[in-house]
Amino acid sequence: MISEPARTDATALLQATRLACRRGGRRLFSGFELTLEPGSAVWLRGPNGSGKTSLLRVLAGLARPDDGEVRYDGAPVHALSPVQRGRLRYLGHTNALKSELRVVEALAFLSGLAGEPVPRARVQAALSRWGLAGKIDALVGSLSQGQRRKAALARLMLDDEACTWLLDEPQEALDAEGLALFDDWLTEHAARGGAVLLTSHIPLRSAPVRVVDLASLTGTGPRP
Amino acid sequence: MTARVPASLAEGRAAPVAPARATPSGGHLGVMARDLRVAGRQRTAWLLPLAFFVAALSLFPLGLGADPTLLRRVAPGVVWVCALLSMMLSVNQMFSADLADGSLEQMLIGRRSMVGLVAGRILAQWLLSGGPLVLVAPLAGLAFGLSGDAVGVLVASLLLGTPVMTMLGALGAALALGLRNGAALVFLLVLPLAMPALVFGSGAVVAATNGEPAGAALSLLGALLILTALVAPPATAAALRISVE
Amino acid sequence: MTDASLPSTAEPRARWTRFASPVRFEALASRLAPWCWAVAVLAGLAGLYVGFIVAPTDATQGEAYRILFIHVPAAWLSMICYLAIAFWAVIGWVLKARMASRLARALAPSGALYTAMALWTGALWGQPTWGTWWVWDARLTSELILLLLYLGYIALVESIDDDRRAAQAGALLALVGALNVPIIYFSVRWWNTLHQGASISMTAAPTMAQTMLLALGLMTVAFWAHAIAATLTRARALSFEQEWTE
Repeated sequence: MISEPARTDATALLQATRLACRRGGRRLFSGFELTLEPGSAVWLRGPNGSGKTSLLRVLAGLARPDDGEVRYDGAPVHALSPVQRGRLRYLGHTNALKSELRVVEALAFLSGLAGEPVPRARVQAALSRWGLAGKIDALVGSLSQGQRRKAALARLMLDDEACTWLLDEPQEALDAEGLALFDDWLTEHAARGGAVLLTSHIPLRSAPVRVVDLASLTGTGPRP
Repeated sequence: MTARVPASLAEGRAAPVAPARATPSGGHLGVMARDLRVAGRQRTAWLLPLAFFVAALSLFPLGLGADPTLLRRVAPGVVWVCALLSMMLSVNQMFSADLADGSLEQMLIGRRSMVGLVAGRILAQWLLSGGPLVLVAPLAGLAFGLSGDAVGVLVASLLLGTPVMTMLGALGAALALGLRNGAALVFLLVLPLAMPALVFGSGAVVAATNGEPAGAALSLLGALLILTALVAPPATAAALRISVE
Repeated sequence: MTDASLPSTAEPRARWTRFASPVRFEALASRLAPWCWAVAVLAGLAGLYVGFIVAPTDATQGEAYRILFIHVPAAWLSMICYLAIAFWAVIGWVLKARMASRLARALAPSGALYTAMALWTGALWGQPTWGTWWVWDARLTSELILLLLYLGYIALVESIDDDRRAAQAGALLALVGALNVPIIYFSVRWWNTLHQGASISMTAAPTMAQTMLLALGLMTVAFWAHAIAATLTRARALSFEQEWTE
């Protein structure tokens, strides 16, 4: 059980209570509690098979837990309003970029799903920041794995407002430059009031995160 | 997997992606545009069902003999069955790509209505696998010796019936998403549900070949289309949610 | 989302929802099933005796009509089982009661069996009566499509490893199928008249003597009892497999 200081629903962006998840007949975890406030970042840690991906999917509303519930701004995750949905971002192991589309088309489609068509200039700026300036019209299929990951992460930069991010191994396939950029950018996002929950095997160097260890279901305080 | 980039595509695209542009980026039109764009760069998506349709049709004269009277009599059923089989062939992969690359999850999470997105997907699928059949149907009808009136009814029946089959196929594909033996399973699931469409559709053409009015059968098929359009997309959206969990 | 199993000390909301608990269902089923098996066997034997030995020879159809004593109840049960599957599947889905979904899944093999029996006995009746082993009349063709619906449901549910997904997907399929059944039946009858197919109807049965009605009644009871017994037994097995082996 993670013991959190009591928080009201008003301040918490995401609140998970008594979550339990089972997969393949095996109980992955139970009694999981988490509160995510605006401006905070949580690093979900644990060995392979401890249920990090399942937990993330439950938090995103893609899967139903065996027990417990997830709430965003007080509303259950399966009954969010379109506006609330528009502020939730999920990035799984796959990038959701179709190989046959150009990068700009793929990113436009994804941001369209969230409700906001984005001007090309914004897409260009986001890609430039990730070092993909010249790739905006390239077919996704021509990019390397690392470049595709960067493009998928660039999509998160297209948002106007601070959103809640649920990221599953976002740093996978990133090079050193990408990792540094990701760190900086997490800090920026948190400073803007956004919230991040991510799983990763790679430690974050500078961004202040709260570490949650799924294996032992104990939480540690904020890192200095 | 690298894709060949035709020169025309590489050069021509400088269009900014902005709300005012004609390129839709959200909702059902956005999905449809995306799918058509993907299919345009990967021609097997729509050539294969069409080729299968033609190949399957050719088997019947070979198997039954070239007697024109016989072929004219079996034409309604044969063309319809081949259309049904061709559509079943292409429909079972309908959501697999989106599942594999994570697009499906993004659609479920996003603020767009899933039913709308599914409707867009179905529309794109029909344009790719059903529409071509409707266009080729007159040739098939003539090859089997159908009269002009009967060919007209054939085209009308396929125009009404192929969307029904696409929608039912989408439901089957969504239920069987990600399962082993997916193709055969989708076939088994969809076939009983598609039989009324087959019966009404080919029945209309049979009536036309006998010189009787086909209006009743076509109306029944139209009613079936409306009913399916009301029930199938929400059911498919629900099935996708179930399959992704 | 809470698990649908009620702890044994909880107050039941209504009498029948108590059995949503696998524990209580097991208790009920284990007591009820043996009785149903017994009734099925006894009624079945009695029905077969009355139908095949006691009932008189029919004036128009001779001895062949006796197969109807099996065919008719089988056909009825095949339809009822499908509707029952749709019913329990929807209950299980809407109320999130796993036991209801298990009942639906347990019904399917029996339903498929009755459908197959109806088809087979239909052919056996058809041979002496029409001269051919199979005729594409409306009733038989509808039964055939119903068999395909059953096989599709079973194939889908068996192909999915995750119990919850299997239950939900099966429920959706069963519901869509149930909605389709009247459409299918109507379309097959329409098709039959269009193509001037076999117009001999199975329901054009001769006026029945008392013994014939008795035999039919006994066989119907036997089929019902068998359906309940087999379903309860299967549901118990599913419960055991899914609940207590984790």
